[in-house]
Amino acid sequence: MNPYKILKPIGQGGFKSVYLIKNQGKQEALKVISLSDRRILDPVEQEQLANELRARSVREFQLLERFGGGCVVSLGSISGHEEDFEGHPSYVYSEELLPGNPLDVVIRNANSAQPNFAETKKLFLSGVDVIERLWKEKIVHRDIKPQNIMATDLPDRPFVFFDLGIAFDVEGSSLTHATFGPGTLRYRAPETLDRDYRATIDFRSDLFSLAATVFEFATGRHPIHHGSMSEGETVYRLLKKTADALAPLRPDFPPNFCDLVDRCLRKRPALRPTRLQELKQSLEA
Amino acid sequence: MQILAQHGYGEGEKVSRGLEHGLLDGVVIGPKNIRLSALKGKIDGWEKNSPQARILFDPQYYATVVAQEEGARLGYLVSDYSDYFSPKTYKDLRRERNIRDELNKALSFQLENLKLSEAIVPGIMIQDGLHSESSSIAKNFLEIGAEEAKESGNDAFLTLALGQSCFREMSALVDFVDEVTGFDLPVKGIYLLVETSRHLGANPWYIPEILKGRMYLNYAFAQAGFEVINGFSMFSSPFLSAVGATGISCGWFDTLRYFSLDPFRASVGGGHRPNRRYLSKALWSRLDLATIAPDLGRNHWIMNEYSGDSRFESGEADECDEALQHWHALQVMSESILNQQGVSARLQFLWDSLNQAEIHRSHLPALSLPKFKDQIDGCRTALRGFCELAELPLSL
Repeated sequence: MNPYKILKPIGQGGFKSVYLIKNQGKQEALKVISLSDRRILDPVEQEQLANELRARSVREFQLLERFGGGCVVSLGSISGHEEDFEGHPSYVYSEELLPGNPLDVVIRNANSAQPNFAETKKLFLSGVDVIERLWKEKIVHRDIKPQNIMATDLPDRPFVFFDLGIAFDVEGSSLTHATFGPGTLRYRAPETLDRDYRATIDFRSDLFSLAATVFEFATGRHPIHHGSMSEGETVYRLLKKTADALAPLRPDFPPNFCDLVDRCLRKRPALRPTRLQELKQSLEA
Repeated sequence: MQILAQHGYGEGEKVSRGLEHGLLDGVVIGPKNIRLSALKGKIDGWEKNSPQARILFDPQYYATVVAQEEGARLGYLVSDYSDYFSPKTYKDLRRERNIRDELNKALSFQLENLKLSEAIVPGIMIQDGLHSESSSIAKNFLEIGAEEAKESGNDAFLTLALGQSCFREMSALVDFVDEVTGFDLPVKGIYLLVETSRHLGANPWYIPEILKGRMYLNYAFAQAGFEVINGFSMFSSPFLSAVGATGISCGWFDTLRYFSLDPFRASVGGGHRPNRRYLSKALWSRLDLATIAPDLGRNHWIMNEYSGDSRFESGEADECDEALQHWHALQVMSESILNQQGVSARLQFLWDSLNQAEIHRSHLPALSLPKFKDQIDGCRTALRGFCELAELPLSL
């Protein structure tokens, strides 16, 4: 018998489901990662998948133990463990319930007014803060995108980043199978499309994803992927086409800020900012 | 942008006069041909007479790997600078602890013996392409060197020395820059050396792949927040200043204008002293004025309005005059480029200046040589290629 009470499902994606629960009188978000896939019939393959998903789930839980708080979502009262959830072997833990909406919902909401400069700057700074904290321990988030950011009502935590499921320890071993496309294509830095990208990935890949997110928040459109482009077109544009510039779309923003967003969207990591402290100072100036 | 003298010999007054006349912002000392005691005296003199001058010391450590070759020409490096300089093989430099020891010795030598503005952390030259053993060792020197410099508490530049083989495959160079700018390098800047041996041709500065790569290195490191000082840069200097170089350095002798390990190897031929030449801003080239002496009166625009022009017109100019004139020319060329706002405007200005130089040349039959056209075309190719590498939306 679970000690918590499930109130309703609030999210679903891939192997992960999220439920609103009540535990010890407090509402939280329960993360349930299924460790099996009914479509896979081969038991060896099923076992390999379960091992990979288990390792990723444990790592995400451990990362949240280390990095939770501030601009990163905090763990809730239910510690990471395996249980049989609705008949499926699963890895389960809870996170704090954040008041607000996922950023992709905010962006898609036709009734939302365009964000002002102060809000956009806060998003950029929150993201840089997360990237910096992770990189101090040589961790790359790899999946920064509007769907993984909560726009909250909390004045000291206006944007909270979550889903460290595919975060990558540069100095550790890989937990994602090569066929798993890490991150959502349109937010992925060009260098991560290279087959051997793991050898050289660093925080600058996250800066690219963050800048694409900031751009989309500020303008309502993605800097590279437009309309109903095919995956192939998106890949081509990621690799070959200069991203749209922010200044023409938000002439009300300071040029230096627009320039920093544009720089983070450069194809080559070397051309993106490489000193996070200086980037933060430039943003705060 | 700063103009620095690449200093080689103890004798002569070029550097002192350059500093006094405001043509130089400082000097990069190469110890091979100057005794340590004489060098200390030189530094004292420069410091006393030009207290603002930036004084740097290139340890020439890259020569350690050719020092065991028969007939190696090491000057005073082995006798006076043995605190840090001794023959090495790549095998000696594979282990991190050995590299750390070597770096400590070179840094301690500079900090304890010489009054310098900043230290230069030594490195070895990447000689066999960017996937070679020398490349791995050079990258270790960068990372460990930055740690040691930080530990010493002194501002420092890291030596990055690239052989011409590093420019054969531009995608490898770009990957290399991605990798190196991702290192945690808490230092002031990079002392960048690019092999430009005369064996590559009469004017190795104009080889498009090398010029383009050199520009990209400067641009990327500057974007990453580093100061970049380009040793032995001579005629590539205006191009490098346009894309973010902090300083360029060159001297009068061939060995101070071209970077190569050849001067440390056994001599393969007689020495070569450069002809006396005048660096013309309008023509973008070094001219033997004797070639156009009869026409010089009618074509005075060739001259840069340098205070010492009359000595060249009268044929009295000596090698010191020539060195000073070249530094002045590089100064005015760089100033006119840096007067433009932003990298794109500066590159456009360079492009227009090259076009103008070509037109000027066509009016001087004595100078209308096919090789000049090749040089200008080489520069154009490099500029276009650089814009593409640097993701600059500029159509040249």
